[in-house]
Amino acid sequence: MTIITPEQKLADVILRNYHLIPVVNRFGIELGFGDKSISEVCREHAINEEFFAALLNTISYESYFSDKKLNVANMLQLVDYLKKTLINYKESQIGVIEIHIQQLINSSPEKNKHLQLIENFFFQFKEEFLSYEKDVNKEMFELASRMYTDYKEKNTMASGYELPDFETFQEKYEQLTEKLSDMKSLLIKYLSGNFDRRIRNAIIYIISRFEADFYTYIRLQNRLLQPMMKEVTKNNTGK
Amino acid sequence: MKGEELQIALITPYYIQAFGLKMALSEFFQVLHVDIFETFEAFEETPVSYDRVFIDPVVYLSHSEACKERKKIVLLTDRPSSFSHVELSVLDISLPRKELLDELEHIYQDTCAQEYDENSKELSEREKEVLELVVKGYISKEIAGMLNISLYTVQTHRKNISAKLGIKSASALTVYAMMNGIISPETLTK
Repeated sequence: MTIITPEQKLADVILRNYHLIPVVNRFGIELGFGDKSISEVCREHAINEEFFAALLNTISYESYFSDKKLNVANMLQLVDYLKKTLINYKESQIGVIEIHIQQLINSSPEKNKHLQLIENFFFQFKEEFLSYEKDVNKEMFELASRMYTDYKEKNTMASGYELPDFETFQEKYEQLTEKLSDMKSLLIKYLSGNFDRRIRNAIIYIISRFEADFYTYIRLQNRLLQPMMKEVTKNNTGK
Repeated sequence: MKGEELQIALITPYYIQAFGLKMALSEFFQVLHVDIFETFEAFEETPVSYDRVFIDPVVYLSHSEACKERKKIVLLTDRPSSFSHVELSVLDISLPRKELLDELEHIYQDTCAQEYDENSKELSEREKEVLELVVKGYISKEIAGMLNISLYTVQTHRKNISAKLGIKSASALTVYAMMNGIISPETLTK
């Protein structure tokens, strides 16, 4: 486990952990930063470097946890990152899968009914994801932002707020990942007919990356954001 | 005859016990054939290969060395605790109707699973029946009522189906069913 620190070159970190590419993109950082350190790149993009490095460590290493570097003070930055993550899923992962499925259908000389079934199933997943994104934004992210602002302005625990139903959100996440896994099973085990196998394989790779990234998203939501929300609404007796 | 039907043997000198169990099995499970034997010797003489053998414990104990396929054996007893040290399946014949039928359902389901090669991921006939009802939109409770089995058994079938196919959601199971001709789009509405 090589802990990521601001003095390190961002390129070295990315070369070791390519799955961090979409993560840095969500901060508005595009590849092509040469040999710049994390500190320099953060300064150029007005990003808090301690928060940035701590987030990269939390995403890269499941056992990493730092309440000194990732705490209530970073709540708004975390909410902003999570919001952008869901937008990124919508536009990149889901958008790209949709394009590939269309290409897969077009690659079939005859009207392959199996491909149509796959496409319909994928659209169902997309609708569920969009609904999840809408609910999370409204019931978790907006609420978290209001709570934090209240807490900061009044310099006391935010009161009069009801915490979201975290369990229901966890169930919705699990239903979504179940569908992603099912889609892979259908593509790997049961899809037959005449079509471009390379496109089918590419879809499987993209879904696999999406699943892994979605898992880090829910880890951040559960292990960081939820405790922060509970922290700012604790009553004065500390319960 | 192997293939679609399960072959069941009942070895017991108690006619009423054999007749009652045969009636229960035949009434609630469609695809099976049941033969009754009063003695172990009569059972040994038949050339048929059975999928499951229900046997009186005294008969079993006096012929245990001859009973080679232990995983096919079910002891018939009203004192199951007396046989807890024996590594065999046991059917408690003193159970009330619902619990007895649930137990028979578990044994039936295990027998269907054992009929296939361990590497085979094929669905059993019962699992296909449950799958068809799931994709038609029926919930587990409704399926239990329609197939006259317990809710627990339906849930177990659903878990086994998902484990065998690698598919969990009802909508993906529908895709699978349509891809494999188990159901056509026209029959999807309840």
